[in-house]
Amino acid sequence: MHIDKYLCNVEKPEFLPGPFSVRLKYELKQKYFDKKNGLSLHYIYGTTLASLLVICAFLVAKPHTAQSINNFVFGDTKEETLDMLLLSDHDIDLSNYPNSIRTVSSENNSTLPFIEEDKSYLIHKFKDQNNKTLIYISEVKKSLQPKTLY
Amino acid sequence: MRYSEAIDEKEVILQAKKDYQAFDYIYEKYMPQIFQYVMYRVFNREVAEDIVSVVFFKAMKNLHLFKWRKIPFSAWLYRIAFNEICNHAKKEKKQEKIRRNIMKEDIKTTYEMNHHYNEKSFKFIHEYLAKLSTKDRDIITMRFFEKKSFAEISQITGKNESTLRVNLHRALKKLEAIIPSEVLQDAYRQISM
Repeated sequence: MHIDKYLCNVEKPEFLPGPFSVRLKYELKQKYFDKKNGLSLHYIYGTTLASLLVICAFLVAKPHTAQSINNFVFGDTKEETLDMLLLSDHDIDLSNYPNSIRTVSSENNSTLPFIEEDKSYLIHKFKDQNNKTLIYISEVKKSLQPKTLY
Repeated sequence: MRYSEAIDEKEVILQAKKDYQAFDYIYEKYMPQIFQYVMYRVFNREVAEDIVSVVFFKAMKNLHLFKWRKIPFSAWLYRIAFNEICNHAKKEKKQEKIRRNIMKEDIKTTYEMNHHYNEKSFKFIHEYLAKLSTKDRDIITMRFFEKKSFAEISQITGKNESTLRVNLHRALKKLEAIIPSEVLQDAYRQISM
C-alpha cells in the first residue's frame, strides 16, 4: 500500500464549528445587517450636519450676532458705532476755527464749546524708501493735558 | 424570501450583502467547510476560530469585489482562508512548537466529539502532517481531506495543475519518509482490516 491510498482510506475527523458558528454569525449580522446600528449612525451624522448648516445660515443672516459671539469668545474688542453730528444742523460760526492742518500747541488747543470731547487720537504719518505713505491713527485713552512749563 | 439550492447561487451572493436571508444561506453552506479546512491546517480550535472570523469579515467586506468569472464562490472563500492561514503561519513561525503541543490537547477534545472514527488513524494524520512544511500540508489537506480536485486546488492557490501534481507527489514522499516504517506498516494494517 502507498501513502496516498492510505490517506484516501483513512477515516478523517470531522471538525464541527459548534457554538462558534452562532457567535460569528451574530457578529457578522450585527456589523452588516443590524439596521438599528446603521440608523443610529446615520441619524447622528445627519443631525450634526443639519445643525451645522442651520448655525452657518444663521450666522450669515445675522452678522452682528456673529460679531458679538466673536467678540465674546476671542477678545474685548468693543463694537463702536459712530452717529455723526452734522455741524450744518447747528447755528455755529466756524470762521474762528482753523480749516487747515496746523501745528498743535498748548496755546491754540481749541475745542468746540457746545460738545464735550470724547476721545483724542494721535495721527502719525510714515514714509518708506519709495516715498509711500502710511497714516497711523492711534487712540489716546486719556485726554491730553497741557504741560506746565517752568 | 427563503433561499434554497434551486435558486441561482450567483443571485444569492449578489444579494448577500444586503439581504440577511441570502447571507444566512451562504454562511450555513460554506462556514462549516471553511472551518473544517482551517482546522485541518492549523490543528488548533482557537486559532481556527480567529482565522475563520477574519475570513468571513473580509469576505463580507469585499463581497462586491467578487466577480463571476472562472472561480466559483467557494474557491474565492478558500483562497481568502488560504491567504489568512499563510499570514498566520508567517506570524506564528516561532510558536510552531507551542502549536504542536496545543494540537495534542485539541486532538483529545475533538476525539471526544467524534467517537466514531479510528483514534490511531486520527493521530497518525495530525502528528505527522504537522511535521511537514506549510506548502506540503496545504496540498495534502486539500487533496485528501477536503477531497478537492486539482482544478479546484488550482483555483484556490493560483498554481497550475501540473505544478500541483508535482508538489503533491513530493509532499507525499516527504510524509512517507518521516513516518517510521513500523508505524506505517501498522497504519496500513489498520486500514486493511
